[in-house]
Amino acid sequence: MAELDVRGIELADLKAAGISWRTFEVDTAAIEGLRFSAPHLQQTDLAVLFVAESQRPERIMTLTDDLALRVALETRHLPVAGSFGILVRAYSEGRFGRQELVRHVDQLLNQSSLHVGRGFRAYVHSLLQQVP
Amino acid sequence: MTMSRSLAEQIDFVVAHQGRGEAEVLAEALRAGLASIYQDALVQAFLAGEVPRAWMLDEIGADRLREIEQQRAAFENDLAWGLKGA
Repeated sequence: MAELDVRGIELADLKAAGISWRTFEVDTAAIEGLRFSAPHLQQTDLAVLFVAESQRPERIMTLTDDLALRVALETRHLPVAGSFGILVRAYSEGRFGRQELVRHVDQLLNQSSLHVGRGFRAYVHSLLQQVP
Repeated sequence: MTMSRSLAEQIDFVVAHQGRGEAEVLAEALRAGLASIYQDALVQAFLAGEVPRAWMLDEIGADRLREIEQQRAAFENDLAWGLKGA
C-alpha cells in the first residue's frame, strides 16, 4: 500500500483497471526464517518472497524488476515477470503497436530502476526484433 | 547522476578541496570514465556473442558476470512470458 501511495495510485484506480487485490499480514519471524536462504534480499523483498511461497500450491505471479528477488523466486520455481514482460504482453494483446512498444521499453530502460547500461539496451533492442 | 555544475567547475572544486593538481584529477577522471565505457562495451559484445565467456570472466570477475547473465535471463524470460499472450 505504501508503494501505491508513493506512486499516487489509489485502490479505486486498480479497481477501474480490473485489478483485484488481497492484503497479507506477514510475520516478522517468518521473514527472518527466509533471510538465511536469501541473504541478499531487502526486508520488503523477503516479505514478497514469503507471500509468494505461502500461497502454494496456488502459483501467484510476482511482478518485480528487482534482480535478486527475481532470482530467489525462480530458484523456488515461483512465477515472476518484470516490467519488460508486461510491456511485451500488452503489445501481444494488442493494447498498443510496435512503435509504442519500442518507445515504452526505451522509457523503461532510461528512466526506471533497472540500472542497465548501453550494452544491455542494445541487447534488449535485439530481443524486440524477434517480436512478431 | 546529473551534476548542476559544469565540468570546469567540478574540476576546480576537486582541485580546491582535495589539494590535487588539475592534471592528476583529469587523468583519474579519464581512467574512471573509460573503465565504465569499456565495461559497457564489453557487456554489449558479450551479449551479442562476440566475446567469449572466459574473457568476460577475466575482465569483470565472476560476480559481475553472474549478474549480467541473470539480467539477460530475466529479459529473455520476460520476452517469452510476454509473447504467451499473443
